[in-house]
Amino acid sequence: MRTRLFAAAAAVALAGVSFAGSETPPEGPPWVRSIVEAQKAALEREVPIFVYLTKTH
Amino acid sequence: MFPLADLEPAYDKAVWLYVYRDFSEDDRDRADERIALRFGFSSYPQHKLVDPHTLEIIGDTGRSVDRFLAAVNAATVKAPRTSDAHSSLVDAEERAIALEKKPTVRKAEAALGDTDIVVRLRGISFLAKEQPESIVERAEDLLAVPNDNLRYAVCEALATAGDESAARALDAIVEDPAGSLNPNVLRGRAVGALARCGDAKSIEVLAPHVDGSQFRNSTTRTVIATLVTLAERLDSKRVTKQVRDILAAGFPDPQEDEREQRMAVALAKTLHKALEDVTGRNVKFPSDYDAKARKKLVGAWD
Repeated sequence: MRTRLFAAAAAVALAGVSFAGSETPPEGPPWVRSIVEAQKAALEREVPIFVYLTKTH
Repeated sequence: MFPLADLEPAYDKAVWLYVYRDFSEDDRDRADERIALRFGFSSYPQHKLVDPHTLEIIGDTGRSVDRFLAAVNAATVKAPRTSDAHSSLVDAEERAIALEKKPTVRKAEAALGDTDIVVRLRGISFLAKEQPESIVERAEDLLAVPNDNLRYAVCEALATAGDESAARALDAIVEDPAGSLNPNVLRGRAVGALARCGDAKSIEVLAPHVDGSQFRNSTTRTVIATLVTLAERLDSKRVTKQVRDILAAGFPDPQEDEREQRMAVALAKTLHKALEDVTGRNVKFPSDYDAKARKKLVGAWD
């Protein structure tokens, strides 16, 4: 029961979360910071660029 | 959202570009600003998929894991037969940076015709301060570009230096802010510019946006202010009566919820003040804004 409640709370949190944003990207994905670099890599791999503009300062 | 391991299947299906503005205007911030300008971002957060060949937005991942993975899996990038996409972007970045560092009116005017949206925006940004007339001359073409930041800047220039030649282009945006990622804000900017640039036809375009049910929307107030200015500037009995009738019909219904009622009353007071300005009449605002008081206010201006 407790696990279900936590999962439900986490799901709600996920739906409403807005990453606070900072100079340092969040851990996990292989982020790049330059659009020139991003485009070059995306063209080589034939994949899209995922652009994430976070909450600003 | 992003630290979750559930998104790992998408790590190699896209190149992940992180954009963060601190508004310090240092080189890092300028680079991030250029990214936001390029894609028309004027609010946050934004989570878009972009084709690296065209640099056009091809999808929105949303903020749920399922939607994110579905969007990335559905996105397709197809290489054209020949492509100078990368060299074009590198060159464009160099032109934009050159304009940032040493802008002149001549360079900024030349930038208005650039093939790259960011270079054009840097030109517009400079001219808006130094020579807004240059933007006004090209307003109709510039307002057709589906980039919010560019259109905001043009509306700003028109609001200070425009004339009625821009009325139809602005009316079109008020009627349908197509291609906007922030349509309510864009509409509000166009409405603001119409105070200086609008004509009698613009009043008909503005009328539907004096909507009492939209008491939460700040654009409603901008519309009211613009109508008052137009009534004064156009200075005709017909226009005055038309604006009077539009404003009087806009009084919101009283609300049951206390917070909503406060907002509705605030809008009612804005309309009341506007009607006093347009008609020259003094009408007492009711101490208690209920259905009866609303009805009396609506009919008080004939």
